[in-house]
Amino acid sequence: MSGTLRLIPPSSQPSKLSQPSQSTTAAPSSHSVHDSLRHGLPTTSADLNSNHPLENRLKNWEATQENLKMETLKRTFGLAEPVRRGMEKMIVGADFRPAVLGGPSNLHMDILNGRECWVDWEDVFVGDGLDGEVPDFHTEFDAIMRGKQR
Amino acid sequence: MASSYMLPYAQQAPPSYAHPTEASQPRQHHWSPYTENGGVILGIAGKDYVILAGDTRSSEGYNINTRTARKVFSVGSGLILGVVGMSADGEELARKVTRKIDDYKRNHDKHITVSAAAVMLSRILYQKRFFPYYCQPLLGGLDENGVGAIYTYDYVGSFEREQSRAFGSAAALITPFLDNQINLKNQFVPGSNGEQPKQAGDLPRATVEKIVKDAFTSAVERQIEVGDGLQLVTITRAPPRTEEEADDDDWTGAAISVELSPLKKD
Amino acid sequence: MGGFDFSNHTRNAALMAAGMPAPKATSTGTTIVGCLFDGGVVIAADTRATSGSIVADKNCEKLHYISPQIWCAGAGTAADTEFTTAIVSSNLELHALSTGRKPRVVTCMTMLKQHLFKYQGHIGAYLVVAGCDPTGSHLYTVHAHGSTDRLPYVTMGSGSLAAMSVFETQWKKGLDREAAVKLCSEAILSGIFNDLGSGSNVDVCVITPDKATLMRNYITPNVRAPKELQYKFEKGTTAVLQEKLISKDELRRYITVTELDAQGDSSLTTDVMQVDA
Repeated sequence: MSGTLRLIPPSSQPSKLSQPSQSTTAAPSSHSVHDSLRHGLPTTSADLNSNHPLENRLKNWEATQENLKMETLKRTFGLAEPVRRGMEKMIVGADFRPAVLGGPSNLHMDILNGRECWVDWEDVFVGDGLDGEVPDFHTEFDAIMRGKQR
Repeated sequence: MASSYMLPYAQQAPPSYAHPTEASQPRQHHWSPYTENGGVILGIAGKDYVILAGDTRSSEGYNINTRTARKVFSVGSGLILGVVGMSADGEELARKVTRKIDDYKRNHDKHITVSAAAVMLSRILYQKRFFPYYCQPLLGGLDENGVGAIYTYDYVGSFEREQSRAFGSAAALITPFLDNQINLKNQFVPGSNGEQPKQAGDLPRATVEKIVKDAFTSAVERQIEVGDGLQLVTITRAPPRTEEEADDDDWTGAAISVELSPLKKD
Repeated sequence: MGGFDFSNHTRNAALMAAGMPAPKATSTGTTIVGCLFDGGVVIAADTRATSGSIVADKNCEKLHYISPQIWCAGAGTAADTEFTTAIVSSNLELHALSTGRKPRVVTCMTMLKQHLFKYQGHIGAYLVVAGCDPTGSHLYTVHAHGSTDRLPYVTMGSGSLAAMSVFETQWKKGLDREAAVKLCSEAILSGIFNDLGSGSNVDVCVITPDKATLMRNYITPNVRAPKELQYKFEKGTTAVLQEKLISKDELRRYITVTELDAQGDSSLTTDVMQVDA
């Protein structure tokens, strides 16, 4: 929670990049090394300039609105309320199912997020696994192990 | 961009409506002396006739300026000129050609031949090589032997005598139809198993007139800039001179007739 | 993962910088209108879809189903109007099932504007939303950037000015059903004949508290002119470059062939070709 009451994400392009972005690094043993075999050669210019003007907005859309909700709850009920809800989500979100098998279908998470009666393009265009947009099992597991190590 | 067609005023939105990021950028204002008024013309030359036809719609963007604009003009001495593209330039070109053909007659005391007029039109166009007339002209007339001739041009004066030609926004739709129906392209003599292409012969004028009408009713279906009316101009050989006409300077040996018929208006 | 795929954006930007034209989306040039009347609401649309100055579809459907009592007329990028109305239709149905109430038109309008606002106008859908719900009859317009209007009579699309001129001269308060249908059709006809982006036929949808009536091709003022000549080619006009005969027995290796009696009983035709598993 950033403490702001921002309704929609800022429309600007990212103006700075932190080393290699989390998603393009290699094995858990090397947190900050870019994985060229998986993600191709890194270019800062492409990372900075290659975004469709909408991409950033859509990527941060949910997070911004969630942040607004939590911030409002914090100001109304105190810090305990967003923390409690965060804990509930952590409990429910422990469910793991590899993305190659379709990813977790978590009704409880949907209910906590208030979207159990809602479809969005993310629910329709789930990816066909052909263009590498679905991470393979090993990459996904890498990420889990990385999280555990920290 | 697809969205720019959405609303008629999308392209001229006042700066105050512009997105902040756009407004902060320098804007280059551009004015063009040219515009495109759409429409299509079609010319076919036969062994003793010429048919030049055009639709009568003049449009700009999604708007219709008039439903009764003529694109085929009689320019004197038994010749006709079809113009398509920017109608202002087309009409100016037709006026200029008419004037020059009249000058020719006064200077030489005879009617200009279609081949000489063809060269003259080429010179007129090339004179404006760096600020061309924004129109594609088709010149039609009967040559010295009374045979139909169609001369086709590009914007700056390159020209050629042809049998049939379509110019304008539906040219890409009509040209393959003419290739097939007038020049009998891609048709073989049945039984020759693709060995012997059909030879294009002299088509009777009545048939060609029907082909022209069908070309237009088809173009109207799929090209939004074509419609409203069909102006069909025909040159045929005039009947032999009568006694009274013997000294008539205006007698050219050619008879020009104009037929107007409706086309779809949507 | 999931959602819209932006992965080709860098490549496409590079291609366009190198002079390659952007792909052309089919746009429904379009005239769409709507009008409230005493006891319901009418929407109407023309049926021409264009791609540049070429007519892509002479008889397309621009009136989209949202819910039994809510319909939507769409202008703009054809695919955007189709998908946007489809996903909102789904969400409205989920919402109706969840709440156990008939969907409200204002809910539909809000879903549409929030969805379109999220995409900043990149989803080029311009819509007229109309319907009847327990709170009455309603008519809205939604623009691609998410702004909305609530008016007794509305027009949108490239023919909106032509259509609005009809409403502004002829509309009056307290129209009945017939008058509203007539007024909307005339507004669409004005778009069809005066706007090059609109053409062909008039579709009308009348919505009343008890039912919605879609009148597809309510007026067809632009029937194709009959051709002067017939364009049939004599057999043999096209050369046969290669010939290959496949016998019925050979065919049996791939599909099931059922013999018919000489008359060829048409009721059997569905059984003729079955692809073997």
